[in-house]
Amino acid sequence: MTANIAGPLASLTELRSGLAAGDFSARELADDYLARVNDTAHLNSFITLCAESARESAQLADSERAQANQALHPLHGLPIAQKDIFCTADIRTSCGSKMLADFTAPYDAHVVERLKAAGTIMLGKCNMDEFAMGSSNENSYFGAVLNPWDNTRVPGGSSGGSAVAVAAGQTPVATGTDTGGSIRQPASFCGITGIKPTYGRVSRYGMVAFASSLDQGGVFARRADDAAKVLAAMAGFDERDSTSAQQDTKDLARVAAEGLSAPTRSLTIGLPKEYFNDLDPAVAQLLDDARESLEAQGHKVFDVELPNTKFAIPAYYVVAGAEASTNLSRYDGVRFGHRCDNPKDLQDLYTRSRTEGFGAEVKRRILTGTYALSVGYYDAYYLKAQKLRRLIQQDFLSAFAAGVDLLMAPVTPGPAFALGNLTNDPVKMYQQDIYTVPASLAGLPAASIPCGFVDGLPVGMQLIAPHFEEVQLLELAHQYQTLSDWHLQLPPEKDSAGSGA
Amino acid sequence: MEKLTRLAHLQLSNSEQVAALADLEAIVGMIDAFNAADVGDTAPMSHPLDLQARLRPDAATAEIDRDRYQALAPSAEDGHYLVPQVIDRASSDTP
Repeated sequence: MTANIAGPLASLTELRSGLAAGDFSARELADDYLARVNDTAHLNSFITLCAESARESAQLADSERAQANQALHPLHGLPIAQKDIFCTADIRTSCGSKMLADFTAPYDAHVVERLKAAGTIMLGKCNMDEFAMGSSNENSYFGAVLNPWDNTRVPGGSSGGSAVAVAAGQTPVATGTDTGGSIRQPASFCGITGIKPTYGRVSRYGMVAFASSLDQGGVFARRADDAAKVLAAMAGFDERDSTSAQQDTKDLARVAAEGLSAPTRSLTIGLPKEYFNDLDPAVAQLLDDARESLEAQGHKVFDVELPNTKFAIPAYYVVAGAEASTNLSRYDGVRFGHRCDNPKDLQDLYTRSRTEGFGAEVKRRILTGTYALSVGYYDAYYLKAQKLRRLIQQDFLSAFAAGVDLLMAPVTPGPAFALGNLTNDPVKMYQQDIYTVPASLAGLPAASIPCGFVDGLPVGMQLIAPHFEEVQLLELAHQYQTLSDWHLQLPPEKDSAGSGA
Repeated sequence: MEKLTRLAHLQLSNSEQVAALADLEAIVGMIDAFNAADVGDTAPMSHPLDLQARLRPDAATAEIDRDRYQALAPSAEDGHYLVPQVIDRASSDTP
């Protein structure tokens, strides 16, 4: 790996100090990361690189710093990459789809607005599974993204481009979205930290909708401390999103300003038994090592039961499919998206535009959702899935009510799988989400924290917290990261292939 | 499949229909596993925080910049969005 200007492992705090001390300018920093993106372009992690606008923004940030007579935002002048699901004024937002390949929004998403206001420098828009539907980033119209640890492996999805950009040192931090695991799974596969906040923490305004009751924006970073800083800048009530939570963000602001510290008390950590039944033994061993490490810090770890876990995948794929089929009805060649040539009538315009614009997985999910919502099946599928969703949430709430502060679990059944391995078996692909969808259905904050390697491939552990307890989750993650260095491992240089590369 | 593709406004070739049917059968088979669950009289959950929809004040906010929005449209003219002609003019014209 070519060295970044402040070192490939530089934290946001170190980068900020470097800017403040004049060791490098925001422009030099942006140039450095952009050069790194070019050096590692084979990973295909960006759909749109914004080199010119990034340089302009960085130069402006340097002028602001030179003229500043008051404190600048802690993220001022620091590079970031956005998942290409967040609308950006005057810069294409493709959502990984041919359908939106020529779409440029006239406004910024709330997340983009907040991060711009903080003074961050957007390097570009990251590759992703089409409309955030996928667990491997193989469903992008703009091509698959490669895992930097082994280029024959998937990086996870749907936010695979963002995860790879951070893991490969192309950007210090990146945004992502998580509907059923789309931040946590790629974070685990790429050996970095990824957090999905509580549903409602981060506004969905300007975030292209997949499944509106599940979609949530979040962050990728190397360290929990960096993730906390970015999350604090993104989070907060937004009246333009009807599901935005009117929740205090002072706790996030405090840890962003002061830095994360270890939890101030011994925590009770639950291990959900159902998550360990069919787990890869090598992954189970890494989680056991992490458990021991946390116990040594005085935390108490107990088994807990979440009996409805086995219904999470079926419930999720009904709810998400149903919401997707509804949300994606707007792509009809008139209101949004690709328009077919020479339609012979209105039906032909709709049908051909959608058929040409959507990829195979998106069509599959639309059909699943259409089936679940169709006359005669609504009660048997959608209504039942909604009832199961409540039971799954009640399992979590009961565990928290019984005194569990956080849950610790695997993120994925195993490390990153080979490209093409599951593309012809949607059910097997969906089963990859088995440990991530329960927290999504319950709307809980959850993160993937690197906890070791299996055959040279990184693996994460999942921490799940009660609603709006992101700070507690991040504090435990931070404490673990002061005891371990799994999050500070760098992937090999380009064109890596094979296990242990 | 024919009904589903019609409802979803999608068109699949014969071979695509065969593959999609096989996929859908496998997915529905996976989903049907939840028939083993006893949901009793559990209230359905449509939102993880059970939030009530709120109303905003009935006040004008930022106005839409028509020119800017129309610059992004595939086709626009004189302040109007142009869409493909999909109605046969001869048969739809009334005397």
